[in-house]
Order: sequence, then C-alpha cells, then structure tokens
Amino acid sequence: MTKHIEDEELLNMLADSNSRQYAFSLMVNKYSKKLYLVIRRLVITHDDTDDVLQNTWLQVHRFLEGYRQNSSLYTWLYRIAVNESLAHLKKEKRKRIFSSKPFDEDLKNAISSGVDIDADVLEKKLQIAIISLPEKQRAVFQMRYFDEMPFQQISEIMGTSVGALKANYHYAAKKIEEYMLA
Amino acid sequence: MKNIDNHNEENKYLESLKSSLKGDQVFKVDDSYFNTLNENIQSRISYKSARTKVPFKFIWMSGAAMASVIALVVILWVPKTSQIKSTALQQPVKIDKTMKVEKPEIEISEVDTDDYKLGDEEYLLSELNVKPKTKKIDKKEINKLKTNEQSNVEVLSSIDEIEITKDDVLDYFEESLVQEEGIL
Repeated sequence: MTKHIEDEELLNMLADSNSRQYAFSLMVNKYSKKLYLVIRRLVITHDDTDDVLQNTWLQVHRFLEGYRQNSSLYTWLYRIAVNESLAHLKKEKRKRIFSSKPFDEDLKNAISSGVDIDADVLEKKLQIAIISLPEKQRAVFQMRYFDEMPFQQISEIMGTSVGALKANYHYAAKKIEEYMLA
Repeated sequence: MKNIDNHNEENKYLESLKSSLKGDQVFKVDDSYFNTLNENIQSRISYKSARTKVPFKFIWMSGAAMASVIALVVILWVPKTSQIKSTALQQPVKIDKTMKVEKPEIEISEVDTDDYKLGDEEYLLSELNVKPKTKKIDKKEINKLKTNEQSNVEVLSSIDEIEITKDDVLDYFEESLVQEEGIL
C-alpha cells in the first residue's frame, strides 16, 4: 500500500468514521519511516525505536479526535514522537537509577558496537557527543542540525519559545564542537 | 551577550562536517520492518479497544458475583452457624486448659531472711508457714470452656487439679525477696 495521499485528504478521511480506519492505515504508511528516524536518533537502538514508534501511533490514534489542525499534521505527529521518545528515555533512566552503569553508557555502547548502525569513526563520535547532551537539548539539536527545521516549527513541537530554543541549540552545538575537536 | 542567531557562523566546524555525514542513513533498518509495522499497530489498537470495553462488563459481573456471595453467606451462616459443616470446623479445637486456670494463691508468714541462702529449700519449707497444697479445678469451668467454644473442643490434658509444689513456693518466695527487699 504505497498510495500517495495529501494530508488534507487524509484528514478528511480521518474525520469520517466510515473511512477512519483505512485513513489511519494510510497515515501510518506515509509517516512511519520519517517518525522512525526521528525516534531512532533519540533512543538509538532499533528495538527501543520499534516500541516507541508503536506507542506513538497508539497515542496518535487515541488523541486523533482532539487534533485541532493548529499545526501541520507532520508537526503534530513529530511532537508526539519526540514526547514519547523523551518519556522512554526518562523511564529507562529511572529504571537504572541504582545501577552502577548509567543508561547513557548503554546508548554509547550501542553506537560503538555498531549493531544496526552504519557509521564511520567520525559519525560514531558525533552520535556519542549528541548522547552526552541532556535529552531535550539533544532533541532540539537533532531537529535543527539534521532536519534543518525552522526554530518556529521546533518551538511548536517542543512547546518552548523561539529565543530559548536558539540559545539551547547554540549551547548544544558548542558542547558538541568542543567534544569533536578535543 | 553573543548574538545567538549567528550560531551557524560560530559552529563552522559542525556545519562543515554536515556535508561528510550520512545523516539518517547511519541507522540501518530493513524495509520489511515497515511492512509488518502497520499490521502490528492495527492489532495493538484492536486489542486496546477490546480491553477498554472490559471494565464496564467486568464491574457489572464482579458486582453481581459479589452480591450473590454476600447473600449466600448471610442466608447460610448467620442464622444457624452450628449447621455449617466445614471440614476445618470439624477438626478438634485444641485448648490447653492449664493456661486458663490460675493456681491458688500462696500465703506465707514472715521469714527471717538473714539465715536464708538462695535455693535453700529445706530452710525455706521449715520456716514458711505453708505447705504444698492442691486446688481442685472446677469441672464446671472446663465444661464452660467447652460450651463457650465450639462443640467439638478437645481438652488435651486430663489434669483436673493443680498442685502447688515446693518449687512454686521457692520461686514465689525468691521473687518476693527481689521485688520487696532488693535481695539477690
């Protein structure tokens, strides 16, 4: 099922109870790859990404009726995916609160071991530098640096002011650059 | 304060690095994963919808079941308790009657404790104006115990009288010395 469909048409179908299930399936097909990468960059491993992605779609299904179209469909989906990823990271960190091995170390090891990752030394170093950032800063950096998303859109996703985001990105980039050049 | 809009210029190294990065291609994922993803999500949604319907049914069913159980207990148990023939109740309830019957009080006269040596039984018995005696246990008391408990009480011991022994007298006397005169 690879039919291309515009968001507007998709939303009309979602609003109709007769076509809702089919439209939801089309939406999953249309956006899953993009959301997968958004999540994967934050949670790193494929298995965790799979969990978070499925939870993201369950949340989308749950709150679909509450979607007011104040932002584009993709921005709304992106926001749910980022929130689910951050919630996942928080949960995993909390689980390891008494562990001698911090959760971030596991993520770094996952990158270093290179399972399901096709990265050279430089790419790995960059990913490890990104993991060293606090979660929210990490998400902002990913959106800006890799997706080249306008700050206004990041602001809609993160629910933070544009000014604060610019400062956040600036400090994140500075830390990463320092790490890379060290 | 630095102009934060100029971050691209400030982070020249990172910007130059971008061209040599693979971006999202770093993270490998098989296309077949996406073929089954939709199916997995649909089945999880169906499962979740089915599960959210359960509580209403469950509340009604468990409420009805609980009411039935309470009604059954009230009907069967409250009016005629003795008629319930549960296996547990048919087992003898073992009561140690000696725990419930107090020993007779010991009356002792004044004793010159100056010559008393701890544990000197002979001296004590000769000085004390008391002799070992027995107290008959009231049979009615045992019967009362039996009837107050379940009808199938089994009284384990056949003792029907309690004897005050020399040891009892000695213990009592020494306890009195400790409490009243601080001896020992």
